Amino acid sequence: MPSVAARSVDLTKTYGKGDAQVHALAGVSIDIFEGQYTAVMGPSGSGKSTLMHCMAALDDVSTGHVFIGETELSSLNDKALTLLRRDKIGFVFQSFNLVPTLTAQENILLPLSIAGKNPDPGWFDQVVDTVGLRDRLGHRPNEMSGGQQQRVACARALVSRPAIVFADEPTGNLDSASGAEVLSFLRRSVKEFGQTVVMVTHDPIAASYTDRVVFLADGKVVDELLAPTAESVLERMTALQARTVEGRGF
Amino acid sequence: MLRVTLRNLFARKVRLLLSAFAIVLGVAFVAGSFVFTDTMGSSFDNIVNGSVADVTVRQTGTDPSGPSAAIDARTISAATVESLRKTPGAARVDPSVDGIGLFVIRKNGKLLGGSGAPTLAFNYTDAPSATGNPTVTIEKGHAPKGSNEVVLDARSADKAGYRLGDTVRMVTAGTVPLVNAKLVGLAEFGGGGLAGATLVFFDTATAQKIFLEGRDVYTSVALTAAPGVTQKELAASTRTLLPKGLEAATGDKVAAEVKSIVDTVLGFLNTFLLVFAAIALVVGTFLIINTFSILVAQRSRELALLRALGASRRQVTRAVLLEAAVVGVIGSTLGLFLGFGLAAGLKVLFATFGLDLSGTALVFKPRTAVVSYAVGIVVTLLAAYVPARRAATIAPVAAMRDDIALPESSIRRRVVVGALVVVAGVALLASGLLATLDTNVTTAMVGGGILAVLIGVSLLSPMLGRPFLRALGVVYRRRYGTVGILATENALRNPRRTAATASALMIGLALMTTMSVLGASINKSIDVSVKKEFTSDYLVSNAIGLPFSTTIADSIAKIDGVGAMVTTQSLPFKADGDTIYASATDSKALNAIYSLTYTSGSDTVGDGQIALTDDNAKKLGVKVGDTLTLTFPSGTVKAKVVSTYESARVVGGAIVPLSTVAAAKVLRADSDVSVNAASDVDKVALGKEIEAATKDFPTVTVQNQQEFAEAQRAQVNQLLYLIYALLGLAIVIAALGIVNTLALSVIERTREVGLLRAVGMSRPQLRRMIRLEAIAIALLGTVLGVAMGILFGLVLQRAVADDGITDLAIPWVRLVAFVVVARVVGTLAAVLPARRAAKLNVLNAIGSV
Ligand SMILES: Nc1ncnc2c1ncn2[C@@H]1O[C@H](COP(=O)(O)OP(=O)(O)OP(=O)(O)O)[C@@H](O)[C@H]1O
Ligand SMILES: [Mg+2]
Repeated sequence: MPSVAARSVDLTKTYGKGDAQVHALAGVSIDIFEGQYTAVMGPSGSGKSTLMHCMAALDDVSTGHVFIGETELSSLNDKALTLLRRDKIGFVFQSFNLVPTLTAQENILLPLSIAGKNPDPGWFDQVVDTVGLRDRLGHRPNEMSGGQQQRVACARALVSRPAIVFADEPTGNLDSASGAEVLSFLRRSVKEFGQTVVMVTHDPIAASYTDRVVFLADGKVVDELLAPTAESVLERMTALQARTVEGRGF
Repeated sequence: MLRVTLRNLFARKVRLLLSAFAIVLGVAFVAGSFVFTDTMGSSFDNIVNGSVADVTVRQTGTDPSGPSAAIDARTISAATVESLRKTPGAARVDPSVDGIGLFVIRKNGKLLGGSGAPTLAFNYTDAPSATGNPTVTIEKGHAPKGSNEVVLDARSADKAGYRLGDTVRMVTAGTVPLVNAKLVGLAEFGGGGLAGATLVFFDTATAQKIFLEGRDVYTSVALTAAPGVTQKELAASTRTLLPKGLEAATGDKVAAEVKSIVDTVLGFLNTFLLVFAAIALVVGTFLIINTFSILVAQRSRELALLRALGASRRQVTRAVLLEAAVVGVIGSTLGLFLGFGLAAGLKVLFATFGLDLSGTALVFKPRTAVVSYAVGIVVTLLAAYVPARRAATIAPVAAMRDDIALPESSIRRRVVVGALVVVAGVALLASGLLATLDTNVTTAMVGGGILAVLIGVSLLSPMLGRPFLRALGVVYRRRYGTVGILATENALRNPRRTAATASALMIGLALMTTMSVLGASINKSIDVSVKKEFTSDYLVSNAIGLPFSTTIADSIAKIDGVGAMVTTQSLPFKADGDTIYASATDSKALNAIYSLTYTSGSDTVGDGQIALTDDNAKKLGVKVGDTLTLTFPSGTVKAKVVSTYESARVVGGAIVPLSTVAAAKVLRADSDVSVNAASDVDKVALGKEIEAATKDFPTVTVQNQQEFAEAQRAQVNQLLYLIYALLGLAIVIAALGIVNTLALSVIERTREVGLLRAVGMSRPQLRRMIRLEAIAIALLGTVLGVAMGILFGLVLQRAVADDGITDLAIPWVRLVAFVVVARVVGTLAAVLPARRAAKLNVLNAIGSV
């Protein structure tokens, strides 16, 4: 069994008060293993993004615990959380990942330069070549396609060699070809560099790139699938949908 | 559409309040100027109305607007007064002794008044003014009787620290230099507040003794009309009895004369204050243009949606303008209220200069409100017009797009327009400096030219700012790394916005720098000319040029060790409509101390002769040998021009013999006394002795060369600091502009801020990023402003070099201080926006659209 890169224990997250209360996460315990590519799936509103945010130290939890490596997040203050995000975590959002005033290269190096660290040139080259952006390094975000921008975001998430990369629907805004570029890059980063990646997705094909799929519904982990294929994922999703009383779609 | 507009306004009240603040400050300045000058005007109206008689008999040619440096020595005989008593229609006839040049010394030995409101001495009468009420009433004690009694107005007595029964010390400019009398009564002026003036009353004989050498003569006569007799009728019947040389003026006429002087002075003051209000408003305009541009940019998607839903371009423009109008109304209203506060503040400030208006309530005229609202609303609408038009150009389809950039007017057009405005400004400035028109016109041209150049440079500044920000970016990158790069890129990302924000600061600083350069040049010129011309060891003079008793010079002359000595009396006369301040003196004695440069003619000015400065000779078109007619209130005196000389600070614009003083029927008094130590005498010791000899006269000061220069410089500096303070308002508005721009930019870049925080930027780093951007903007404005100011200062100094500002001085230390202060301003301006950015919740920031 590989060691755990991140872990949540009885994690709950509640929004609002009284009647308007929403239990976005209703007790999620999940282990993310090192060097694995994990997908998180589930109906809209099932709490996927909330789980990502809580585990990536972007949001605080209501009850329960989150560990990144050995570090328990609730014990950290804002400064420590900032440092943790900077040094240990990479993040890829659905859109708006890049600072518009900086070039692709500057964006990729942003976490390092904020930290005042020098990039490892070899690693930087490797990452850049893997995302295939060598000829775009001097361009600003508005001079790049959506797929290229997302690849830059992925490169940025990887370049500081974080313990774990979280990606929330990184291909949600992309067409299938651009999406495939991003997905295969994340796949390669796991396979070739041993990177740990957690990705939220709605797309069974995207999920088929991963090692393991965790299904969420109504803020709880309801199912899990190892070595998924597009077909097996679709099958589980359909089954899950049938079980969902309200019949909310994906 | 109206609903949408108002909803918008409400949703963005903080941002709009910030831009309204520029209007608030500008309008407050306008309203405050009007309220204050109206208050002063009403105070003086009351004084005039409460003090003029129905008919006043006075010397012909009496000119209340004339220079106060000379005291009319003409009198009205007792016989004339007796004949006037028979005037038909006169209920009572009160001859008056008006004493000028008397000052009360406070209990602590210091002068009361002196540089502020005047001290007026009279023989006490209970005569009524034209209003029918007594001019003064004795509130406490009794009227003065005998040579040992005096009455003061209650407020002045209180200020001077005297109570009934105390002995009041006074100095005069006449032959009785020191007067001591017991305070036997406190008077109340019938017209209300006295604006800080001091009233002193003696009985008639005592007043004659002090001011008229004890002769039974008077300076004027007040006639009160019998019931049913009008002022005009009384004046007409008075005239039939008057000897030559006297005139009868109705109360209305005298009041109108005085009011016109007061109005002129108040008009100057009002214009002076309004100029600064205008500067503040111009700077505020930048702030409003910027705010509305940013607001429109941020709302472009929403405006596009309105267009997609069928709103016309006109409707969109109107919606934005309506918003501006509401901001204008709110800003003007607040400004009006703040204006009252400002006027109250000015009242306090002027009271410290001796112009005490505490007896008068603030005067609010409807005109003040009309002007304030008009200015506030028009300026806001004008400023919002460009952004409003731009808002209308948003295509409806933009609503569907993700990233919308507003169509921007081309930079090139801006550069062309900016360059044209600069050229026009330079032309206006040059013609203002070179043209020989009325000084008011040329001053307005110079001011307008400077403003036009500044506005032109503001238009060019997006282009000028780029290299500066790039250069600063290199420093930032080196010192602050990525945070520095981000700050630079943010400042460069929207060059117009950055430039407009910096321009507001530039205007204020350009004007401050211009004034600093001029001030330093004036001071240097003073130093240079004083060193060259001021060749006496000591100068005894009055701080504001009031005449003092000749007995002072007499007592100095008796001091052992006094060598050469000369007294001069300032004697203003009119020639060709210009007033020239002549120095009446003994020219031989003058030449013994001062080495004037006589450019033509003899260096001795005898009886019936005059010497003129080269400038005045040129202006009057006379040369040596010509005869000049000098016009005094008492009539004309002819004088032959014997020489011309280079103007010098130590003498007036003309030199006449002392005999001219008597010929002009002006009271003999000294304006200054120059003293040289005899050879082999210790100068310092002599200075001490002169001090001792004049210690009873707080009206005069004893100065050596250095002290004289310092006193002159102090006057320049005082004015300079006043102007700094008034320009400070423009700086405050500009600083608010930086706050506003940054706050709006932070809101605009919320997602970016969230992203930076998500990838690990710490709060201090974020705050520093915003602070560095603010400092970049502030430094850009300051550097441009200081550069422009040096340029203006240089040009102006060269232009007025002939008028005594001969030497250029650039106060580098002060200019560096400006830059340092600007840095601090930038830092402070960033505090709130930076705090706001740092507080943003990472997730909300990222999620917001
Ligand atoms: N800031 C918030 N305030 C209140 N409720 C929230 C907030 N954020 C999320 N929720 C609620 O929490 C639940 C889970 O939201 P979350 O964004 O995690 O869902 P998701 O699985 O990512 O959905 P999607 O697939 O649509 O992105 C939803 O019911 C949502 O309405
Ligand atoms: Mg989501």
